[in-house]
Amino acid sequence: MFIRYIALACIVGACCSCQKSVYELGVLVPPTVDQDPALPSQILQVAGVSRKVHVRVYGSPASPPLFLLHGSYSDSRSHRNLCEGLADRYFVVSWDQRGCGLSERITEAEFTFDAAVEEIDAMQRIYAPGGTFTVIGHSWGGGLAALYTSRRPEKVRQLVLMEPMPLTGADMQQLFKTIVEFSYFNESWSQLARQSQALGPRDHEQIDYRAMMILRSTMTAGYHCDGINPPAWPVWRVGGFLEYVRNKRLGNPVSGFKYDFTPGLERYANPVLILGGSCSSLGYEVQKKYTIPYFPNAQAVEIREAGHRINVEQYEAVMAELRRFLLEYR
Amino acid sequence: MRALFRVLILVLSACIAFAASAQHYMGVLLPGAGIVGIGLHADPALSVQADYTHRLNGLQLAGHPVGFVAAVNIPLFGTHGLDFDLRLGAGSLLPVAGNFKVVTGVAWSLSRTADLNGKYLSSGLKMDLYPGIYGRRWIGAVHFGSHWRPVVHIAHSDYARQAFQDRYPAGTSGSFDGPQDGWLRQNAFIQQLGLAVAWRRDTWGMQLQTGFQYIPNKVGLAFLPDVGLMPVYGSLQTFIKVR
Repeated sequence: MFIRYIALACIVGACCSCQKSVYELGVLVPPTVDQDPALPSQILQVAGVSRKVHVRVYGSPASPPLFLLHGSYSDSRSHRNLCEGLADRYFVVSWDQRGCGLSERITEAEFTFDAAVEEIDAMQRIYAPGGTFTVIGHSWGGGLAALYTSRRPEKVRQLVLMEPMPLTGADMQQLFKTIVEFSYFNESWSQLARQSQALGPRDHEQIDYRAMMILRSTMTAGYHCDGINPPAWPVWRVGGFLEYVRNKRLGNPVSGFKYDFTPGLERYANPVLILGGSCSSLGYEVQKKYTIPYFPNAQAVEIREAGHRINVEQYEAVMAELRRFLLEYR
Repeated sequence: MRALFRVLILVLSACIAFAASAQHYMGVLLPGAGIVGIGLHADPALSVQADYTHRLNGLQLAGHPVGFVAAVNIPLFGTHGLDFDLRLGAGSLLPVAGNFKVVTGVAWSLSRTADLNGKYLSSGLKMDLYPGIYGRRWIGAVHFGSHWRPVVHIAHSDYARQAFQDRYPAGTSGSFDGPQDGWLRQNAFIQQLGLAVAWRRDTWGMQLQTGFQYIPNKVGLAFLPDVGLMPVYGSLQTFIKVR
């Protein structure tokens, strides 16, 4: 019976000896721009709320502006190589979308598709005051780029979609099973679930910390050429709560996906480049069938030996296609 | 003094039961001195649990022997090294009125788990209450469980450290250069509310339990399967008298 007293004494002793709390800043995930003033930031007024976003710019402000939009479960770090590669001809603006990466966290009410468009408008006023800019979007960022183009076709000078998400809920409904394969017996999911045994997800940091593991999950094996060992995807912070809200807005396979980013795309006459990997569940073949038809003037290009993380897997090939397409390289 | 000590033990034991997902509470109800249990747990990740209950007939709570329990829970999927959840506790039965009784208790827990982000060793207490109808063969009870983990030791992986790299522009620096390793305080709770049904013979029995669990958080998330947050738990446990 002494075991109980020893155990209790151990717990009390351990608690007293712990100087740090798991809830302190920077214990699990990097602090955001509102918490760490050393990070470069910009204040945006979106959905009636001022938030700090983490922004990096590359190249000369005198060059034509190019906005790079990252995908879900991601942030701008994942496309740094493209930003640096394009900085010789463009003024590249890359930021962590509100609630993601090192940008300030937001509330549920602040994320809507309208607000996501408003966010790009706010960035345009600061970094592309001339009014027009080039957009490159990856995955969710590709969907957002398409949505923005459908609402503001006059502002989008050139459009590149890299492995964009399905642009309508109906398409997503058809493709969802090839994108996410949920299994109760999946090892990655089991690890995610078991983290509750050690760390209580009491606040955003613990949820973000856990969400980082999704980047290596085998539940999205279809995205990658090697689904068991997906390629490294550099990210500072996955905004777990933001992903939850975004998924809520998009819908789900049970009750249905109810979004549509396509109305108005038929008005966009400029050429559109769509890049798809050869072995991704959102790759070339899918883009040809599902995305191309929404644009009057789009071409799809296959990047060989590449999955969804196309720019880290085949950087040279992606850059070659971008240089071939983008006006400033011609 | 001896009486006071006895009361103290009884009170502690009353707060003590064998936690885990509270599966082996039936063990103390069998007449033997030693009861072995084995079962499948989903809380929500799937694991297998083995436990041993040792009944002390000389130590009684409200006329019923107190059982001391050791349980080890091993996850079945996605383990990194030797993951386990060890529980040590005791439990007993409190008669209330007729067949309406309550099994109650607390167990000390020590869990080792590892994942892509790091390795964790956490410790805490789990309290369980099973008010219900305790018949000769059948038992039906409501389960109230609360698992509190106030301390965790974290050893972050290189994967978790990489998230802190390249954050500051060239020529600048900041205060946060990596995740923090070591012993850390926390206030992690898992609250459970469920139903338990058990069937017992003289020397063995089975128990099925299922219910909802909630992890209190400031974000307001109860259900987020993407990150493994599922508000359900369950278990199927068998137990047999060995002594």
